[in-house]
Amino acid sequence: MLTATLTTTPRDDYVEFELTVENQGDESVTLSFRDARRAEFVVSDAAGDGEVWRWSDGRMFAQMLGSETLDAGESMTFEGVWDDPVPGEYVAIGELAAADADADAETHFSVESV
Amino acid sequence: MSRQSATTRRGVLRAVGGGAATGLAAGSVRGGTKNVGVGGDRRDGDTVVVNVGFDPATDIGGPDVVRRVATRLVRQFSFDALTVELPRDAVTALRQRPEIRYVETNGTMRTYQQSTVQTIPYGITRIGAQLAREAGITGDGVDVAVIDSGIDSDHPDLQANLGEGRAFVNCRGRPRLCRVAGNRNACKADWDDDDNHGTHCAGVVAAVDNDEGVVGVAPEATLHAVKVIYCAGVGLVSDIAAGIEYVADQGWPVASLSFGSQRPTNLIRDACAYAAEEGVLLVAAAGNGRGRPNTVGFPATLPSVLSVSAVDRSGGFAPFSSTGPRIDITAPGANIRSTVPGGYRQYSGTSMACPHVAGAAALLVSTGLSPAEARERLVGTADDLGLEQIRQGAGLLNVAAALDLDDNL
Repeated sequence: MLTATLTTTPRDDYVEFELTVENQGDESVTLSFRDARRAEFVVSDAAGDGEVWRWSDGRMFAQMLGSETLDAGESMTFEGVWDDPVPGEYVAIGELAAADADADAETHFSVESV
Repeated sequence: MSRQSATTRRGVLRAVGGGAATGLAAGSVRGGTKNVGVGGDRRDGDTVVVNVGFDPATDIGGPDVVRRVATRLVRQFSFDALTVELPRDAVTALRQRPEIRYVETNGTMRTYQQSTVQTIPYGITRIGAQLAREAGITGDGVDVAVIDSGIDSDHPDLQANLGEGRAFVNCRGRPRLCRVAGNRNACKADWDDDDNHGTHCAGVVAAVDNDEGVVGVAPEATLHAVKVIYCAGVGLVSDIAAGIEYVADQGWPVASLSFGSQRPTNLIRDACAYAAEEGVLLVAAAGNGRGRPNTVGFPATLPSVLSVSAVDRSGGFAPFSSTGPRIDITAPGANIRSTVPGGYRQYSGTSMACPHVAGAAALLVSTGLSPAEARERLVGTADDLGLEQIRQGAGLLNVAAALDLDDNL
């Protein structure tokens, strides 16, 4: 069983995201990926005004199949950075991009005006 | 030495067939004492690579005697000699045959010990690139840009074909990320490959035709590493656009783009239009949309780009491949063996299909065709696999047909 936790760390002019996926089951799990993308981060307006930023926008991915194995109790962390965020209240979603497993987490954060 | 006549080379290739690569035992061959009849089909694993000279006066006898005992034909010379792998204990008997002038070990035994013997990846034979090789069409000197994660700068199976490299993101340029992602490349050049992906694609285009590893579609093309993808297999749109623009400004005729995304961007659209206008043939991976409808990724969806889906060893549609009306052609992409920093690996993806087509385009350009003409010919001569157009496009890449080599068999 996979569980996901998402942390957001607002810095001066960027926000760091860390998605940690943990295998809480008793057996190892092999995750398959269709390309080089391992995770996705999406930021939406907390007021419900829709998506404001997506990590994969502005990126391209090597089109090669890949896999990662998580042993029982093992976890894996994926990082993303949002540069030059506009101040506001947001909801962030981090999700594993595996083709054969789901794991996602959500958290609220705010970007203060500097 | 490496230049052989086309007819000689054809003979070697036929004989080698699809033989598997095995580690070679090395050392002295003098110890053989058991008298083994020449002509047996034994293969006990204790083999040696030897150079055998035969007497031309006995006409067909000599080579046949050697071939019958050989477990593998390594090289055939224009003069009366062969390099073969054979059972160690067959050496003595061979030496006693009247047709045989000499049986010698290789002077470069160490090299043989350290390298893997060259095998022909199935994709090369599947698309007819073997026939091009036999006809002496090797893409000699045609510039092919591999817009990717870089190319290993000291891989023995690529080095002879490396041209200029250019980095838009440096090898291990994201130190924190690259400590946990990518490979352990020492980054001797800033365009060195910290991810494996670019080196793998480069090997499909133009791994050198030598005694080791693999061979590419266009084994004498010039490979330019344009590094836009960082150690995690990901590239920023701005770096990628700069890489495409750079290739156009160099005037290189062919570029291989084994990356994509489901989201189009105007910047890359503009960069591709600019390159196409400058006459660059852009070949792109259609994406790994797992057979689902309308999953061709960007930039493969652009009309200026030649879009490549993937098939497997037997010509069946690869289940991981994208489908859609913007597929132009298909090529081998499942379980492709090619170069990576420090050795060789098998990878799958439309990433691996794309450089087969780029290499094929280089072969056509080497015969005097323009990149636009090359594209038209590759699409026009593809083999219909009987799959829907949204899967195979025009069909399976057949570079022999594109080069008009089919009728000469």
